[in-house]
Amino acid sequence: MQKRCIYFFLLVSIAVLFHSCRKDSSPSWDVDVQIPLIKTSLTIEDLIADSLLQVESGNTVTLVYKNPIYTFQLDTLLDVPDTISHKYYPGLPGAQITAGQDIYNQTEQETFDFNGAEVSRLDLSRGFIAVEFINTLNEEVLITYKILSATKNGQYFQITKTVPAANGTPYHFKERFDVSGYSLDMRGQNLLSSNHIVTSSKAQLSATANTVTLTAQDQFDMLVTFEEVGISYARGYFAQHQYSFGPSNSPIKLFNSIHGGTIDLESIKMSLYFENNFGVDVRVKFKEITAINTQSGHEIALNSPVIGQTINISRALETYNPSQPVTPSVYAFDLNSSNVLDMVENLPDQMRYSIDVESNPLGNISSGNDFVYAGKNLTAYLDMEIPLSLMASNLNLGDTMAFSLGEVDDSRQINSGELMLLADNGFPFNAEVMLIALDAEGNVIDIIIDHEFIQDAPLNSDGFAPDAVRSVIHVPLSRERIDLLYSASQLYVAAYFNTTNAGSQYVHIYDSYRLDMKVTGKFNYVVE
Amino acid sequence: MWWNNNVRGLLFILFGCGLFTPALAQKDSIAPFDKGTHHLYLSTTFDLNASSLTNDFIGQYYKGAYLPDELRARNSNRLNDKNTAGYSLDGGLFYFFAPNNYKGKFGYYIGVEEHSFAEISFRKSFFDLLFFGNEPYSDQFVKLDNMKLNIMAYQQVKAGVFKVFKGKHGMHQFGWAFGFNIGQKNLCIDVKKASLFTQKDGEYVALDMDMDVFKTDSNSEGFGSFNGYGGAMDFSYNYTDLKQHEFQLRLSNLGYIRWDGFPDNFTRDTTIKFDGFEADIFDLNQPMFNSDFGDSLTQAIIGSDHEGAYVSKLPMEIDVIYTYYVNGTPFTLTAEAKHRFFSVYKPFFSFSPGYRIFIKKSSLNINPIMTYGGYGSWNFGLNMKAQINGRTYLGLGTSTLNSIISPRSSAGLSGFFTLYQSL
Repeated sequence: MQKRCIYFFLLVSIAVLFHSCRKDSSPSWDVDVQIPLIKTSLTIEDLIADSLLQVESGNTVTLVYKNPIYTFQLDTLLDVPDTISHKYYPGLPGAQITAGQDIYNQTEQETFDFNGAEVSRLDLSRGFIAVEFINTLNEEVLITYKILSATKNGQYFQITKTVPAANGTPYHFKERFDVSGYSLDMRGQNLLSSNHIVTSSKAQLSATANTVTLTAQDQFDMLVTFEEVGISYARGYFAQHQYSFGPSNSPIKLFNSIHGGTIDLESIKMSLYFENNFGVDVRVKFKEITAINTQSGHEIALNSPVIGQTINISRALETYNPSQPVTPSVYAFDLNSSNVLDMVENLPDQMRYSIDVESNPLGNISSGNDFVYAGKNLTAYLDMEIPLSLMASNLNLGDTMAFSLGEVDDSRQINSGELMLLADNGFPFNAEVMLIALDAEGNVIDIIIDHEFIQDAPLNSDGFAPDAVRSVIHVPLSRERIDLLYSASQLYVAAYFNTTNAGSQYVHIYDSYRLDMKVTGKFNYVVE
Repeated sequence: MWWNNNVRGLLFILFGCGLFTPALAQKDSIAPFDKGTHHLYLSTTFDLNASSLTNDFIGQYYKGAYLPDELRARNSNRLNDKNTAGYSLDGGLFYFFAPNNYKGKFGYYIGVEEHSFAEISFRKSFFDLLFFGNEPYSDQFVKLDNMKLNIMAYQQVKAGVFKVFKGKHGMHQFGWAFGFNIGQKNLCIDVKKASLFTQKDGEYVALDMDMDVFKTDSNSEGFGSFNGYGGAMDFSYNYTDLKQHEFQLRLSNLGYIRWDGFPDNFTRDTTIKFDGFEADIFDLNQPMFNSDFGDSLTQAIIGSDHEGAYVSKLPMEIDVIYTYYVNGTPFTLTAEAKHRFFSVYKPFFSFSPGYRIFIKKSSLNINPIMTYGGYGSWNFGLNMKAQINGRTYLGLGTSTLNSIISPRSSAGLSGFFTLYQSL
């Protein structure tokens, strides 16, 4: 009986073993797959930000662009000195000071030098007051510093600190205190002057200290300074000053993606604007404005009466509305009769300027009521309206983009294949496209598409391209190329646009134009 | 005396032949013994088969090897429009008790069974799509409807009774059993309608489908997992004239499992069109060929409107066996017809001539067997059964020798092992 039972258990074990003897590895085989990979559409809004485009009544598109050339900022107009006060009190040898007794206690009016400006009010958006104190006594000293002219929520600025004892070597105390949001009334104690603040500083022996007898070596040195101060508002008379800026370059980003070729625009509207947000009269004179294409090296200087002309710009109005505290004074100068078309067709990426600015050319005509708000500057900018009606010749748009096909190991599953770029072009431009794979350092790994052609959409008699035209670009993928693509980390995409099929006719861009692109793939793929 | 000495031995052989002739049979609800004896019964059967695929293909796939073009093409050429493939693995261990006599008494038995199977009915186009890709079907609709995949594993605790009646011309035996089912795992995908279209330039692929999906918690599907429960019933009837004829009818696993251990089931009747990932041409810093595609497609198919518990019918089997003992000779002829309902299993037929060799109180039956149907097609094999000293019955065999001999042209891997032991 026992032997038989063992026999049965043995058989049961064999049955369980048979059940559990399964293979876990996966089979593999090759398949030929054809799948869509990615799709994208390009409209004029994709190429140029919506905010820069204006659709006209006939659905043509106008590029509206505002490019700052020069900005005169508040800190140029008004510079706040760092030092508020520096007090030095030598000790009187032999004098005894008992616990809680004042060493000194003074209220003073400090004067600031604003380089000729007479400031009656200064509001601080940020910054610190740094207080340094040197204690030579071998007892603790209590210091109190107040700026009676600096208020925030009705409270003046005050700090009280205990400075540790010297213990043989003078103790150097330094600490800084936030003054963000404080308003400084700089009219002094009589409230009639300017550039003054009233401060109070006091030093007293600690209430728990022992009586000390001063020696010739004892001194009390207190330095109070502004650090990292930002002005949110200032009022006063900001003096008559002359400034000269430039030649300096300011960037133009509008044509950043264009790397070559020529463009012929049918028309352009451009004005030079001055926007004065200062509560200060200014007089400006542009000595030079030059459009620079740093890639081609071409420079075209603005040839307009505005160059060399002195322009008086009156001060802005203060509205006392916190959300819109200033109504700027704007001056526009029409450049349409100048050579601005040539300047823009130069596809500039830099604008060189040279400008003279004079503040308060007529002196203190505001009776000390000049004002400035932070972020409200004097700005000169070019305002352009470019109807997108143009002829292009090899207009080269290109960009480098981050790119990843995934883990390199994934590539092992693709034996070979072919990519197809299906381009349905609704723009009346034809294009030669290039696609280059780059490594992380920007070195060329592989030229994936080399000057392949995308057909333009034909224009009808109204100069409109109603139908898109399909072009197909085949990209064979060998095993080697697949490995290269998987190792690529950047793609350089370039297109050379031409309107040659339109002849000498300007081509209007309509907001309905689009380029639809799909990338599909045929792969011999290892299924695992 | 006659009953005790001769009939018992004859019944032993008769039931044994009937029980073990088909390779797929794996147990009987009726014990062949009487006279207050105790018996143990152990059986294991395995069947892997396909209607058109070959053993070398299945073997390579199962081993996880590379499937070369020639192998896939050869198998593709063998496929019909509709095909089946599947495996089943079943085992059981039972204790039997037969009373001294059956007048007013029943025999009874109790035991456990293990069942697992995976079966699929598929179209040739599905095979070709899976193993050759969609590119050959460019600009064509691939019909994928009426396909089904069902994978299930469950265990049973069974208890039953049986009774023998002596008739005027022979013996009748009836048996009935009830089983409690423990659902381990299930995945059932029933594709009622589906087609795949690939645009000729690969601009898009469109999958139109109408399918039901049922699955249990994939995080808990190992042996011993309790993902559902249910009941099942077996019934059997045997008749023998104790001379030349024997007839058996068996109905097993008429039952169900209610899957309620975090299951998932949903119906999806939709069309999914994929025409590429929307890409920002100014930011191609996202991987294109990664699992996102599969995840997105899976998400599109699976959706989110799911329901919980569901009920599955077990693959109920009806088996009819007739055995003819050629009078005065050691030869037997056995024919069987079997079918599993609620399954892709096709009607199964077998024919098995046998030859008995008697050695003292023992005997050995050798049965060549020819089968058709089930998960597969034509198969040939050899079964052997031994009766040792009237107390031990041992059977083993296979019905798929042909596919072992010729794996390039046929399919099937099967075997059974059975042991009755009187205690």
